[in-house]
Amino acid sequence: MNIIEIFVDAIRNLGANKLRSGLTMLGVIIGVSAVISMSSIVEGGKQMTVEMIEKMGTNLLSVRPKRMDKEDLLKFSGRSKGLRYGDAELIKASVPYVEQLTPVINFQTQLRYGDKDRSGMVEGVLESYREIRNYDVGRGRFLSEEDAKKFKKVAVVGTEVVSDLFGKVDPLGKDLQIGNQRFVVIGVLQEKGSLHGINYDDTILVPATTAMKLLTGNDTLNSFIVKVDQRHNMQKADRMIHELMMKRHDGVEDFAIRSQDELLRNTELIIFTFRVILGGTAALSLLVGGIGIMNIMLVTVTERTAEIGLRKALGASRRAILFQFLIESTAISLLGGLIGILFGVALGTGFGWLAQRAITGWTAVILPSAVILGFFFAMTVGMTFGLYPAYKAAQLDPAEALRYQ
Amino acid sequence: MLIALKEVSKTYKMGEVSVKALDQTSFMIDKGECVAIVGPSGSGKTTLLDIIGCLSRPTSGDYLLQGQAVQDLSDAELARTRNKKIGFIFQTFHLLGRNTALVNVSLPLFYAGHAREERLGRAETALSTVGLADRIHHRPNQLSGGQQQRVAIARALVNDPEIILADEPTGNLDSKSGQEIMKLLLDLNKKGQTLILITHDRDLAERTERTLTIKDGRIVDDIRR
Ligand SMILES: Nc1ncnc2c1ncn2[C@@H]1O[C@H](COP(=O)(O)OP(=O)(O)OP(=O)(O)O)[C@@H](O)[C@H]1O
Ligand SMILES: [Mg+2]
Repeated sequence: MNIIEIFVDAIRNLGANKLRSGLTMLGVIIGVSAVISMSSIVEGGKQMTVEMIEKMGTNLLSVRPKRMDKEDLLKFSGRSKGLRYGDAELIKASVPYVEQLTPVINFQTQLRYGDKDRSGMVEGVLESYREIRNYDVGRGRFLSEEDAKKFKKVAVVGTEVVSDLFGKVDPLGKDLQIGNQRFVVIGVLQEKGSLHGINYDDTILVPATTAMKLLTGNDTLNSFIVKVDQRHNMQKADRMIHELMMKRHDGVEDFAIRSQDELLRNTELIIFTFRVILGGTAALSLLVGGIGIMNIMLVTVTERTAEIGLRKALGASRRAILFQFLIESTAISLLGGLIGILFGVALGTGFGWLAQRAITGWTAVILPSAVILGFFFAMTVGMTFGLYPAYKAAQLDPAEALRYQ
Repeated sequence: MLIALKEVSKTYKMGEVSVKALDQTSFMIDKGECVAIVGPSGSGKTTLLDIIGCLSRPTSGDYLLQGQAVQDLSDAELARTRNKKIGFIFQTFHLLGRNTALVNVSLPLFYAGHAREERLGRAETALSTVGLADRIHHRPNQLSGGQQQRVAIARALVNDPEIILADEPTGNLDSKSGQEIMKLLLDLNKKGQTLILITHDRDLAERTERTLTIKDGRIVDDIRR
């Protein structure tokens, strides 16, 4: 009960000097709103990136040929076979953690429908590619096992290819000329967007077998992608694939295995770095705010020396005086913290709203933990930096304080 | 014996120089007495009152308040003693400008730890004792000097102290208000409270039972009528 009354009194004292109190609070307001709004921006960016990475499939390992430098080439001269279809088949057959696997053959070629033509990137893959990449088929169907077995000349295309080549014509069942072969369009993929500069809607998928037989004429792969059954098996699968590949390639490490986990981890590391930098900046501004509070409280104590003397004459102990001034500085930071929360939430939400409009897939996030953290940090700053002025007030000699003019 | 000073000295040190404000002062004051302290400016009157009021401790000598040696008391005990046993009245009133008369008067009860309703009730009673029942919600700057000093008197008596210490209570007032304030204080004394007041006014000093004259920190005269 006493605390509440002292607190109300403290607020009234602050109200008596509005401009000064407001300026003193500014440091805390800026600090707290910076913590909240910046963490909201960082978190929004993080969620978007992670979501996009996961949209491109989860638990993936991709195996690619390694670019070898001159020294390596001399050392392994003639021994590197490159990545072959057989590699993918071996891994699929011998690694128990493999849930799905698809070889990938990429090649740039000319596409034509009717009188329209353009060049495009064609991918030769298997039916498992759909699950690996999380593709949804909008219309028609995806590639099937039978398509691959029978070397069928069928193609599944992305929305951008459709709009470029077919315009308003329904592409299903139409002949699409890829290189100098004619393929039948059997499906259209649902729109997916792009990540890291790759446009996933500008896609033409054909059976890998057909691609090797009719388009490239050999069994070299650009890569193969493995979907591992469980996240915690990623490393085991990685090691096992490495071992098998080394054996099959006569000890020549002409391939590289990349984990999607790595991508996530890198993203998280970047986010963490951002957090530390922003957190540090916010902490610094709160520190400056705290010094402002200390400065003003010291002035206040001097100004109110006679009042302190009087209160002591009327029976206030040192503790009571200490408490009174400590509550006053805490009230400043408490109010500043609350206003800072309002500003921070408004800024974070406002930025999220703008970002949502500018960047697809962005969501505005306000972290409750940032709100709580900012608030308590502000309170702690108020108490810590109020301690010395309050101590000074408490130590004043009552007789001398009463004589102070 | 209510108050007993034995060879009390007080020395202020200011760097190299030290000022002896009280020099081996000894005297006693009984419960219910009415004492005026007179003396030239700078003779140590306020210093003496500070010591009697437990606002400062003697540099040497003993001060017994109701038989209790004040130098043995802790800060919290000194605060409690000032709160319960002593009511202060100052020349410059020392009211809190932001607060109403009622809140100003209730302040000693706040430090005594009483609940809000009790505090405000007792403060109102004290204010009507000094004839300010119709001014309880006024702030100090809405009151005349005489009225402000009456608020201060109400504040001094609200916790029913044994001793009232007044340092030139009429010093900032015209003679008419001064007379009224003096009458209030003497009435309180008649009801049993011990009154010790500093004054420069000879006439006022004549109206008390006892006058202590202080010069250069020493009691040079102690007259009873
Ligand atoms: N805090 C202090 N530091 C140093 N010297 C002080 C202090 N307080 C009082 N003095 C000195 O002690 C002496 C007595 O001062 P005191 O205030 O007790 O006098 P006084 O009799 O009340 O005077 P007045 O009638 O002018 O109020 C003075 O010489 C004064 O300068
Ligand atoms: Mg004086």
